[in-house]
Amino acid sequence: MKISCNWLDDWIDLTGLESDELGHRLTMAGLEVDAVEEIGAGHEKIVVGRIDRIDTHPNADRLVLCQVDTGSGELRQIACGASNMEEGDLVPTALPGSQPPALDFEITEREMMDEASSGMLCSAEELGYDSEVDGLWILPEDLEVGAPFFEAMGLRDTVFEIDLTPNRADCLSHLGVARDLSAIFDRPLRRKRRELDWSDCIDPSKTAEDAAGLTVEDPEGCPRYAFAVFEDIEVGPSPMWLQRRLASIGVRSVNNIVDATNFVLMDVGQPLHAFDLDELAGPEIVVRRAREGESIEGIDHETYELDTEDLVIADAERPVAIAGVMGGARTEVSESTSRILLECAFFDPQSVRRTAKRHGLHTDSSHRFERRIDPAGIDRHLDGAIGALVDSLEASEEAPVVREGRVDESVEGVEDGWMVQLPGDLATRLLGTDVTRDVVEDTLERLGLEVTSGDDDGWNVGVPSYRGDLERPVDLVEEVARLHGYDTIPETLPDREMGGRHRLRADADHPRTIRSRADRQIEQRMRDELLGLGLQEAVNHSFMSDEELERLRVPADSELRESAEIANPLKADEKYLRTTLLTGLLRNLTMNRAQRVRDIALFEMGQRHFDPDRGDGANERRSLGILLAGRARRHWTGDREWDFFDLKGVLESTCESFALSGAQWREPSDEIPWFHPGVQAEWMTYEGSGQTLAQAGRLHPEIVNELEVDGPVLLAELDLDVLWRCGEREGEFEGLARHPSVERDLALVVDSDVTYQTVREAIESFRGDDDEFDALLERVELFDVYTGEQVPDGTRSLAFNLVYRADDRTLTEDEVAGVDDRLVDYLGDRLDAHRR
Amino acid sequence: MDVQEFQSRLESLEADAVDRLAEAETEDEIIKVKNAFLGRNGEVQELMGILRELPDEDKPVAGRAANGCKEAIQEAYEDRLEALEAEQLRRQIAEEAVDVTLPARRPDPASPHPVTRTMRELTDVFVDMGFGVADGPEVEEDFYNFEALNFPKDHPARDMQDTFKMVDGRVLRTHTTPLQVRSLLAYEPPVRLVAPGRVYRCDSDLTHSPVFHQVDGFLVDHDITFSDLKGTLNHFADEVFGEETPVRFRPSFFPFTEPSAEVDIGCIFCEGAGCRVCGDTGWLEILGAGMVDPNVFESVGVDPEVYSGFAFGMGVERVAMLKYGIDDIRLLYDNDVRFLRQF
Repeated sequence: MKISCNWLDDWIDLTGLESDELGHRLTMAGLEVDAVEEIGAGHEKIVVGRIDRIDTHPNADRLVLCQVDTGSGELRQIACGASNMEEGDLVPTALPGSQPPALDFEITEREMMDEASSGMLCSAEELGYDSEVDGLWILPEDLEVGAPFFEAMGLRDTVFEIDLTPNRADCLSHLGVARDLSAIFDRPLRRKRRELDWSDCIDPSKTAEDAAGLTVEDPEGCPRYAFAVFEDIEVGPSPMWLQRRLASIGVRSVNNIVDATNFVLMDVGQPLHAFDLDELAGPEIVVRRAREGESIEGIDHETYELDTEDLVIADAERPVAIAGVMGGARTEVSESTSRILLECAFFDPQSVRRTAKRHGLHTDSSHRFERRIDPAGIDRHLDGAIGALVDSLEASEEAPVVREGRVDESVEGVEDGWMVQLPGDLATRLLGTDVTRDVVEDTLERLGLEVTSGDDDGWNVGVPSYRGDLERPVDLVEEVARLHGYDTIPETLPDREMGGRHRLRADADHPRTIRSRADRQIEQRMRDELLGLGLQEAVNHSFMSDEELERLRVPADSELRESAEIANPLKADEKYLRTTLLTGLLRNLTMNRAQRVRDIALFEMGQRHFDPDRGDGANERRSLGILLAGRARRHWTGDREWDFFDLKGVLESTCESFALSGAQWREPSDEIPWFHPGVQAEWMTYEGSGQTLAQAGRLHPEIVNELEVDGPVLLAELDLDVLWRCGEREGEFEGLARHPSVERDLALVVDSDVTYQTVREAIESFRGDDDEFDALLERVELFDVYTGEQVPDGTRSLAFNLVYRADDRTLTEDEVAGVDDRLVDYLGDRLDAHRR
Repeated sequence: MDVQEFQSRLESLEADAVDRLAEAETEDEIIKVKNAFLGRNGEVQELMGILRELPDEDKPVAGRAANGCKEAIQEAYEDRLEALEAEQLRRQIAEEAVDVTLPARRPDPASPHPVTRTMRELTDVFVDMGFGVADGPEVEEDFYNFEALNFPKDHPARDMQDTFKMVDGRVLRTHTTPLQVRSLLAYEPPVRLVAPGRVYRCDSDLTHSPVFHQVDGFLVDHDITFSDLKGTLNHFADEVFGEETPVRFRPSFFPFTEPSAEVDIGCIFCEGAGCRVCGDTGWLEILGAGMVDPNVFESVGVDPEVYSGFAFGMGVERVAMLKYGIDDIRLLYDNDVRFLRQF
């Protein structure tokens, strides 16, 4: 909201206060000044000049040469193309070195058609004002020649852009800001603008009721409605004072009626609306809810289909305004209007807000009604509005004005405001500093509150109806703190035992919110591990589109389709919350590749979201996503690309500290469509039937082609909630072996479709068959996989290193060879394996 | 052969042996040379045969000379062997030498995302002060996100936070402040917690992202005052932005606190002189804070006559952007590897 210092001057004397100081004090009182605009500043070289003589230009028909007195004692010659001036006129004169606001160049000494010209005589447009005058701006005769133009015309102004918090509805006007300034600087309010005595304008033989009927059908939505009627008016441009006022805060001048209503709005915060009375059927005003099927064309010429909850102003036939939000086009004041009905009302804040939201409208009027205008001000503001309109119409005293102020339902407490009981110790207790009784009383009184002593050293505080935000004792404490200054409050640290355990409430059963220290640390360890492996951490938005799932060939019955939908997404492709972290990581891949970054190793930890209707309650699941593409290692001794086994390795290292000894990798029970059919796996926990801990694989080559990213892309997603449930690995010390081990290498040839895992499990199961094997086998490790000429077609060789050890003696090769032979026989029976 | 001749033969044998040892290039050659002189059929042994033919009185002299010769050759042999080993080691060392300035082999250096890192730093300051850490859902009930925090339905205060609504009626939490409600419902005061986490607002430009992160915190106990809030946040500013960072509290409005404050720190770029980043004010807005509003206490069933509390909240991205001088918030979510490597 823009606040003009010149305008404030109508309400309070701010003499002696620099704009810096004003801005700072407003900010420190909670009216945050976002920007300060100095209007007319830096234009000291545009001055009031008097044209002493006008001569024809010897070399140009369309120019004249003016001898101008600019107060320097000498006349200066200025060439000019205008013709609306006479000798003796005062005009704005831009001296060399100045730049009129609407021009994009600096005025210099120059020659025009061989005649010297030392400056420029200005039109209103060149100075940034609208004008119907063609030619120079002829100034009032009483200005001082040579004085800076903007100051002399009273156009010099400082305008604050104030970012008002929604609780301060009372400050949505110059009067409101002046009230706070009055409290801040302890200076009285005043009324400087001339108050016209318009009592003579009232024609006692006519009443408003003669002109129009009023029915408030919905007193809840409209507790107060008052109007005045003006007859025999002429719609035209506003007087200069009014144009200037509005221009200073960036409001465009429309006509003398609309400008007057805008003036009152910005002056005291009361929204008004003027109807063309001759366009009102009846003529009649009915305040009611819209009826089924009604619509209205607004003054913005959009048609609004009304809801039956929308409060409207209707005439005898149909809605003519959306109450408190926007007027209708049909009854809008136009050049031909001669009779108006001026509305001054209080509409229910919530009703106005719901309606404005429903129609996507936000107007100066709805902004104020939503925040609650002063309900007790209707009478007073209607009087003020009549004054402003009479002033704006420049109406002669005989002009007939009919007035009727009508107040219907009474808003609770509005007549006198209300009382708040402020306990004597509350300010001290909440602020942590001794606030003296004088400070409390003085501060509240400066704000216009009535303070009297109450019970137990407390106060009874009378709050005026315009301060709807002051309802409770604590609200008054804030007023004291805010005006006394937050900087007067000392700094202390909470003086108590911190860091003890939080106790659950006995009276209710609500889910815990605290994350344990161990829980946080383990997540941090995982992150550190991933970083140590050379993966960068990514953070993506939580949004996802159908197209992204489509591209991944996610089937319709997949869990990933059970997404939660946003009702008001910013973009069509951000309609769903992600059910997988992979879509984000793939976006990062294509973005990086577009930037020609080839080697990409990323991980992200974040939430996956699911439709709450799924029923399992786990709508938000923590997840780890991994993407590897390009080179795992770049080095002058040789590069290496990331492959699937790196991916598995990253996952396993990351989960090192969890109890996962029985977790197994296997081919997925159902093929995962976004992965390469031959390079995809699931990592299963051992518990029960097993839960999927992670899915890992190579992105399907078709998708790689579609995304136009070359080379293999490895992806994995790990369910952190499942991992968490596995718990941390408990380390337990085992005695160190005292006898040497015997190592045996065993190359087994098996059919190509027998997986490593199958062989590994078979070796494990032989333990059950052979006690000696079970007792001696310490460790098995695969060290080679071979396919090629050395083994038959359709088979491959898996070479294992077996480590045997006895607790009580040194093993011999012979002893172990026998065990080995039995193992090979066993595997031969089970898997048709044989020694290579 | 007399003793002189014997001796001179020994001398020339010795000289010959030393020469040939010196010429031998490999361990095998050296051994061969040694054996040619000292072996069972070696030349020295051969000469020893002659020793027996010498007169007895000469034998001791000749014997000593012969032993001296043997020892000398043995010694020359050992020296030569040693020299050869030394030579070989030297050669090996020379061959194994590398240009130590060549680049190392290591995983790519990686660091946490600036948002995660900043969020952790901010959280840790409060954890060190004895605050616990709370966590809750990102898709939130209207009650926890708004109503219990004194944002009445159809109230303009709701416009302060542009809200994503879910089709099912819930909202994407606009702040992590709902954890204040959830925690006060779950735990008995004293409660002191920080809630770091992801939040959502439908707003997007250079400094606003629809998804961002917040660290929110609160302390509820007997006799908690605004001065405690000031002290706590001053300490926080010292820890995060450096000792003696000026802190300024300005009156403001949040529905869930009363009195409310915006908290500025002295601009860390111009140190208060005024610059582009702080918009010439010398101050940077970092936090919102205030005393827990009695309406919040009432909605969670805590008696505001008995307890009081303070609350604060800050945007993680805002702090990260200030700390690292990042001017476009979208950079934080592009995950351009060239960007991520810089932290």
